[in-house]
Amino acid sequence: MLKSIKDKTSFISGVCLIILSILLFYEASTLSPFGSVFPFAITTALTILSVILIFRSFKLEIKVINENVSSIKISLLVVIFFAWIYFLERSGFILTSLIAFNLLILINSGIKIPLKKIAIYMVMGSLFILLLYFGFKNLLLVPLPEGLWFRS
Amino acid sequence: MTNIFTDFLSSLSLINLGLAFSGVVAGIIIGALPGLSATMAVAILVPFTFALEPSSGLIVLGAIYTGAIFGGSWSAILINTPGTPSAVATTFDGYPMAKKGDGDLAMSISCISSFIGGIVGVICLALFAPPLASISLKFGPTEYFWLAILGLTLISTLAEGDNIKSLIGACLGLLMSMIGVAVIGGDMRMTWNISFLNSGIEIVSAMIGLFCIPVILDLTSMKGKHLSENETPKSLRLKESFLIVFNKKFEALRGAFIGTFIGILPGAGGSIASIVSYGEAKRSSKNKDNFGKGEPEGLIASETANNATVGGGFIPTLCLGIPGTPPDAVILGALLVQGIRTGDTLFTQQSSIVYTFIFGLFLATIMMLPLGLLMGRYAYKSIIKVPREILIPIIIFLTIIGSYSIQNNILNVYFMFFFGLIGWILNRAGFKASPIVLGLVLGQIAEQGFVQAYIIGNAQENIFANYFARPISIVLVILILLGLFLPTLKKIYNRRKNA
Repeated sequence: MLKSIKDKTSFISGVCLIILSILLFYEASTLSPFGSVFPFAITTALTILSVILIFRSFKLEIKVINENVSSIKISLLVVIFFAWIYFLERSGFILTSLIAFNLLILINSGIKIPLKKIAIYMVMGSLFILLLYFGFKNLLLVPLPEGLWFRS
Repeated sequence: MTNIFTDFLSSLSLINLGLAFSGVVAGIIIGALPGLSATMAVAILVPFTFALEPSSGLIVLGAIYTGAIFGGSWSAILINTPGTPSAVATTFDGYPMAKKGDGDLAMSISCISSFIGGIVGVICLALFAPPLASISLKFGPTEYFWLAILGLTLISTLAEGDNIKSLIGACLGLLMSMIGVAVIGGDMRMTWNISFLNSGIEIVSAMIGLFCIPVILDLTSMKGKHLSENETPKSLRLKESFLIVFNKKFEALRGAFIGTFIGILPGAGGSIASIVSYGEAKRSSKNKDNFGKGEPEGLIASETANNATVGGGFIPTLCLGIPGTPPDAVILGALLVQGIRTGDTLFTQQSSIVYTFIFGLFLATIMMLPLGLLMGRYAYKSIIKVPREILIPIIIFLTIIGSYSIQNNILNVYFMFFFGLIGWILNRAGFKASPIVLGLVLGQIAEQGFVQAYIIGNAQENIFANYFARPISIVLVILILLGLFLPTLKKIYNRRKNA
């Protein structure tokens, strides 16, 4: 059966979406009539569309054009991105942002770009962060996190 | 007549001109930053206006609002991330234009189109406010439900990519909008005992994640320049932009009228307006195959419509006291604080304040044209010159600071990150971000309309008639069906004709 599937991505997506619809339909059945009427309607629509997607995956393949990804770069970026958010309130906005920002510059620069250029990028980036920090804090009055160590 | 002329002169005072100028500049900058919406821009600056004369305070708020709606197109064009939800349709053709090296042209066209839309909206506000306001009262829950569904079906059939997957994306967006407390009934839904889901998903942080993170991750792996540079980097391409918009003047006016009309409907806002206008432009265009690949006509349609909602939205706000869009709600609050009572007597009893405000809005829209062209040119030149190595951390930084500042809450940043990763995975499976975001934006309007119509129909013992037999509903349902099935029927017809 699996061999007759022309568009495996659509098939897998369709199956996952049907499972999701069933779960949400079940969840909606525990709600009051007013709270459940719209979830019932949308999960039913989602199930019908997913079934169409599955049937279509046997007939034709719709190619999705994607950029080739560098899995190492992307993994590092995701980890640093998450760490940036995680430490934002703990270590403070400025410190976390300066570290994470410059680490991301290093990752994206790789080994081909001269060190002097990377250093210039880092200085420019750090100035940009400080400028925006003061703009947000003083002009837009957004209380950005100061961090546990810098709290007055 | 003499009074109106005096109001016009009063709006031209040096202080009002200065306030309109600074309001437009601040609005453009705030609107261009993903996460900082027009509502937030207006809300932040409301307290500062209390020290001003009522009309001057209103002028600065209107100027910020006008600037912010236009500013939202910048990030949509340059980094494929709408600065405000009303710029979602701008990404369809704006970003492809920038990728092809026509980013400066796109920025100029967007500015001219926003100017046209803004002017038409303000003229309608000045001339036809009371009669137009009564139209909004003809829209009941059923009509709002169908209007939201029309927006969703249009985006699903218009956005680049697979239509079925786009419709599924719209359903996913609607389901996401249901997380938290139900709009009617008050049930706690899809929270799975996770406390931070109780208040639902913050739309703007989800939007930033869904649009921005896939771009960031693709940029990381990309080789070469992120945006192409055109061969004449020193030119403003003004003549070319004006010529393109002039050649599409009827399309621009149509977009502006669609925007004004949808702006009148309370709660509908620029996101539906720009999608409906884009859909109409694609349907009637000779170049429909180029839509989504960098067609200026698509950009004109989207930008005229979303800026026209500014003037349109003020019509029910001023005449009925019902805000047309979220920023209007904030401005309505400011009006009440200033002691201005909205309603049908506003245009007669406090006409001086209202007309000074309308003229101020008019001036702000006129100022937006040179300011937007000038600032847009430098924004574009700066973005293409920034090396990718530094651009990626800058975009990440903006996503974090933008989603944090929505409610000064770190949870919104986590939401943004989480939705971004989901968006990237879905994007690679062929599910685009725009239908999901629109589903999320329109979810509450759709559900409220659907459930209220259901309750009314149930009470009248004729649910079917309440959904399908009202005159405006019939028109909307026909448009939805045409949007869904016309492309397929056309394909079948052409296939048979060729066979």
